[in-house]
Amino acid sequence: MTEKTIQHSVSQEHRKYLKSKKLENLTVKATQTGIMILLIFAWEISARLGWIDSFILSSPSRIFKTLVSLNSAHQLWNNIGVTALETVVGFLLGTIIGIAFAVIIWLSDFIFKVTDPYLVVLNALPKVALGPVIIVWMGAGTKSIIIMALLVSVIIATLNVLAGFKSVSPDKILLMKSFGANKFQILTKLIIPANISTIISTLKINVGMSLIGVITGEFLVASKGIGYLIVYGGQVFKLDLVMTGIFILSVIASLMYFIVSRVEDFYLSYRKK
Amino acid sequence: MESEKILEIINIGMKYHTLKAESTAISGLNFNVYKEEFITIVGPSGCGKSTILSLISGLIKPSEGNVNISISDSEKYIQKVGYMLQKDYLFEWRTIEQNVLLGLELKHALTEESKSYALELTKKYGLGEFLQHYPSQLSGGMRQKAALIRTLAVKPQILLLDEPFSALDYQTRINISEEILNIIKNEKKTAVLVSHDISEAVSLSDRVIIFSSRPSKVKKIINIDFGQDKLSLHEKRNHKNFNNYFDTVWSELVD
Repeated sequence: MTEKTIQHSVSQEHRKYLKSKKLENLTVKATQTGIMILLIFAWEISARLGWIDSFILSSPSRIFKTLVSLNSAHQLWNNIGVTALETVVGFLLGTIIGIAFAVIIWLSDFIFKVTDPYLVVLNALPKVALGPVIIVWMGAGTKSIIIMALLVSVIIATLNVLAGFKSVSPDKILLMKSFGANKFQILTKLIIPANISTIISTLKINVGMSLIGVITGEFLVASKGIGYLIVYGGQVFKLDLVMTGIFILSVIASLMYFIVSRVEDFYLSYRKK
Repeated sequence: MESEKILEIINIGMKYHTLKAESTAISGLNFNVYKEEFITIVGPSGCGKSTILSLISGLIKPSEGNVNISISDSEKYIQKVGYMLQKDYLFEWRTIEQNVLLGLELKHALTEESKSYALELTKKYGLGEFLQHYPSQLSGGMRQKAALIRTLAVKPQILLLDEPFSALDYQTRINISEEILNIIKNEKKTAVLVSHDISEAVSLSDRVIIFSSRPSKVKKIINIDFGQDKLSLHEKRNHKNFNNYFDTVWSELVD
């Protein structure tokens, strides 16, 4: 009898705990949304009251108007499409090639020692500086822009994933060797499964990296895409267009980040099973 | 005791090279291990106790001398020597079942027969209901037992144990070492344990081999005899001979 009461009270306590967690979650979400709405209102109001110069800083309503006029001029979706496509392709290539490099470097200690200084310098080098060369070589078009996105994301992906590979405990490798495992088995049965979360965090970083690459590429090529709209807007002093471009970019970035998070959730729930 | 020699360490020497110097870790090391025997190697720290296990397992080659392992053809092994490390090193992303089968997988020896042998062991030694659990859901002792079964799954005739209990708390340590000793005796394995714990050495083994400090060789071999078989570790620890053996090993180590 007493036991039952205790159990009942525990479950009630647990329910309380769940409720408080849910409430906390909700409060965070509500505050985030609240800040967003507040900022938009403050921006709009200060623009209308002339506290800030809406010619330079634009305003939410002007961004909305710009979006509508871009849409009616058939300039909105095709530019978004171009940028999104370039970003996704650059992101996939950068990540896949980066992971492949990390695997090759991990497999050979000699290659690791040889490439180490090169990787550090290449990582520090602003890849944008190579832009003009790439454009002359590959032509002023999508190809060059994808190469830019690839260059910006590939080295950081290599370094990140390699650092994860190298951080696997040597004793676990010893364990594998005690069962006579070869290098390939150590890679596929230990190193890669131990680094799934590193790889996912690299995906998250690469979303941003490839977007940087694409926008700088579009700045230089200046024929299509959101980067082009921004550069064009700057040149003809249509700063509304610049702000609209930035707004679209933040939406694209959030969407891609959201997709990567879904991949992560999927992986986590798969692992639970 | 059976006199069939299963392992011979013949005149082993081991040198380590660094850019600054060459140092001799082991020199002129000789001893034999007999079938189904449990021996413990003790010695001052840094005397190359773990090195000798790596040498026996073939992970590293000696600078001089030989390691001979003689296993009769009738013994069915997938791997002659099994190695158990200080920690369990179970892979967090694999279930206990998948962890236990890791060695067989790596040896390309995962057959219906070898799998059922491994799963039989888990049932026999109390892990049967945890097969679908992940390592993080098990206690330290259970994890160490899973690690032992992972090693036993490849049917080694010789088991090398590198202080496998050192990461456990005292009580678990006593219980699990008792259990693991029973499993090893039950499955008729030969075991070489490396330890710095004298009580553990005396209570678990048939013989204690004491190493000298660097460059190490065998300083003394002590036969442990409590007069009767099948004493529990606790009974051995309370046996009148226990303190004598303990003191002998102790005085050899401090010399």
